[in-house]
Amino acid sequence: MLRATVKSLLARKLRLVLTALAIVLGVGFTAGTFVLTDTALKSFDDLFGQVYANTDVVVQAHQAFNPTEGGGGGGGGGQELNPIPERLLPSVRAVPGVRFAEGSVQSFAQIIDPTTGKVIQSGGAPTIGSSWSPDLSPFTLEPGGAAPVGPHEVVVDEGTATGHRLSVGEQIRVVTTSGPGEYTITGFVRFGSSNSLLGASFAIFDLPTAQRLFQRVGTFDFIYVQGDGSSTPDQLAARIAGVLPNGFEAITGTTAASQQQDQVNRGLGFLRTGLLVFGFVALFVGAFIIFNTFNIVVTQRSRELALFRALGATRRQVMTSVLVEAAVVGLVASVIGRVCPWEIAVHAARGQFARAIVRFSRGLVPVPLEGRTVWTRYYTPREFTQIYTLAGFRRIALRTLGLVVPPPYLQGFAGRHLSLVATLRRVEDAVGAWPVVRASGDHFLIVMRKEA
Amino acid sequence: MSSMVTTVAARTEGLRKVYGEGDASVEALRGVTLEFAVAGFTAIMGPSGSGKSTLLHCLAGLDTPTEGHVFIGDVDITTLSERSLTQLRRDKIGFVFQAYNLIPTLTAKENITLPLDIAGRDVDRAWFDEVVDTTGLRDRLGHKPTELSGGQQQRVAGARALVSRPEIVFADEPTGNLDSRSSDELLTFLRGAATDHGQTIVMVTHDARAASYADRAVFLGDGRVVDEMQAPTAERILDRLKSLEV
Repeated sequence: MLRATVKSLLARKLRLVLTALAIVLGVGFTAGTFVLTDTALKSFDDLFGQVYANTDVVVQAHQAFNPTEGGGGGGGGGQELNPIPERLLPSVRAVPGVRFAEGSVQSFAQIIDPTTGKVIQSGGAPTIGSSWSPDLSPFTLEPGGAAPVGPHEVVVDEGTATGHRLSVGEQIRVVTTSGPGEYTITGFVRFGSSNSLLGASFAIFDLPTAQRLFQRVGTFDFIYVQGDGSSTPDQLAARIAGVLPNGFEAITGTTAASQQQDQVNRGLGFLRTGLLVFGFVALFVGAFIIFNTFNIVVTQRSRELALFRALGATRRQVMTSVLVEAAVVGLVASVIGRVCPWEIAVHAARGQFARAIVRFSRGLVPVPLEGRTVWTRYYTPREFTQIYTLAGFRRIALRTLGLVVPPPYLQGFAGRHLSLVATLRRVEDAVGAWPVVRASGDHFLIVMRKEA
Repeated sequence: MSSMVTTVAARTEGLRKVYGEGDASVEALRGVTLEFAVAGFTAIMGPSGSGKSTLLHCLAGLDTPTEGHVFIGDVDITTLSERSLTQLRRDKIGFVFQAYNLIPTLTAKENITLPLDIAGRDVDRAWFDEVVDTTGLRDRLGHKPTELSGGQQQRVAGARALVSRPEIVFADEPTGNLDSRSSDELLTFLRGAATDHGQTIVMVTHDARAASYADRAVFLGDGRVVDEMQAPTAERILDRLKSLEV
């Protein structure tokens, strides 16, 4: 009976592969959507934590409650707060416990792509103009670049630079509230660990230039303060608040981050709902594809199954036969060849289809990694074992790591779904050393012994 | 009708089968009472729509009668649960279909032993060899059904029906798709199973020549048994059929 089922499966390899593929797509679509949703929302959550990473205290105009003020940093790149007079900066610097205090202005600045002549803007992401803060910048300059100095220099974010093939020393046009102007690129900046801030473009000028361009001469939007470590941010904020006139406040960097995060979250409520809806649509479509696929398979086999029944097979035997096929298809779907399901899902969800299937290639392949290209080679455990067998090693154990458990680069996702990951880990512990299963995944644990 | 029969392999009592309901209902069997003797080879004949196939399906437990009883041995299968019926089909009944119904992905040998695989029973080597040699399929055992002729496929189906030593074998138009030479080979095989091994066989056919291999021919007309004939010959059957259709 089992033999009949298995033979029937093997005789229809194309059907097996296609059903497996349908399931890969269904599951990939679903998983991809959830991973994408999660990643996107997490990025927004992280954003402001990074912005204020170096900042202990922020001085800003007193914020009246303003519910219409939605996306902080959206469009113009900053809330329209009352400007802070420049003369407040020396008094803030004079407060005990302050190491650095820097004024900052923010507005919009649109970078013109030199090849197309059009404004660089990806998917409605903000085009932000900012002043350069030498000591408290959330940006880090890429090696080979220099901070902008004087009225004709600008620094742009690396994401925009690589996306539009800009190079250091190149002249670009930037449009600000003062109109268009020509500037020389002196460097690129990264934003914490990533080369772009969710697709926003950044044009960063030195402070006097930014003040002039953004029409904030003599004023700041914010004063960023870093303490010398002698007092907590709360104590420092309280002391600074003491020297500020009415209408201005000093809040800790953490508070500022969470305030802006709240604003963004309010603004992103629709996005959260939207992505969740997509997730459910994906779940439905995925489930439907799988259901339909098996429906077709069972219909195709109905004659065979009826014969089994006529020859005395019990309902249970026929059911088992169908389930065995489903299990085999499911297994094949989850471990076709050089497959890391998470990698495929993550990259396919981002539309990076070439990256999603990079593991299928043999020999050296270029792999984009954090904006750089790394030439690498994906050895299968079998190839690896063969190479080392020639060198006199013998394989004594092999198991997969990161097949069903999310791989390390999805640490954030894993951190937010601890119980799910714990379940997945138990699954992987149980099946990780099974044949076929052990040859797929993100990493492998291969134990070899040097033969005497 | 059955006074001379000492041992009965299967019998029916007042079997009725109605398909559909109300105005659209069709009465396929209108009270059929029959007995099939052990080691007997019975041909059930009749024009299309006379209820031959329905009778066979009810006998084999593939269909449930509307009224009446079917006994296989001493067991009234109309009272059996789904599970017991399945077990009975598996252990006591063999089947040969018109369309061969072999599993295309299995070899001839695997197809023959499929009922035993399903039942989880071991193959009786001696009996398997005997069945295979009788069918003359020895050198075709490793072939898939698509590599066999129609006659060979039907002989595989015949061997499959016999290999589990069922109490009774039902054959539904087994020669319907075969040329006359292949028909003869299959019928000789069935005849031999009855004569040499005491196998009870009930065969539905509309082919008089096929029926002439049987010990007894039963004629159905309009859902009723209209006649029966011992040791039939093709000519006598044809004559009888003509009179039935008039």
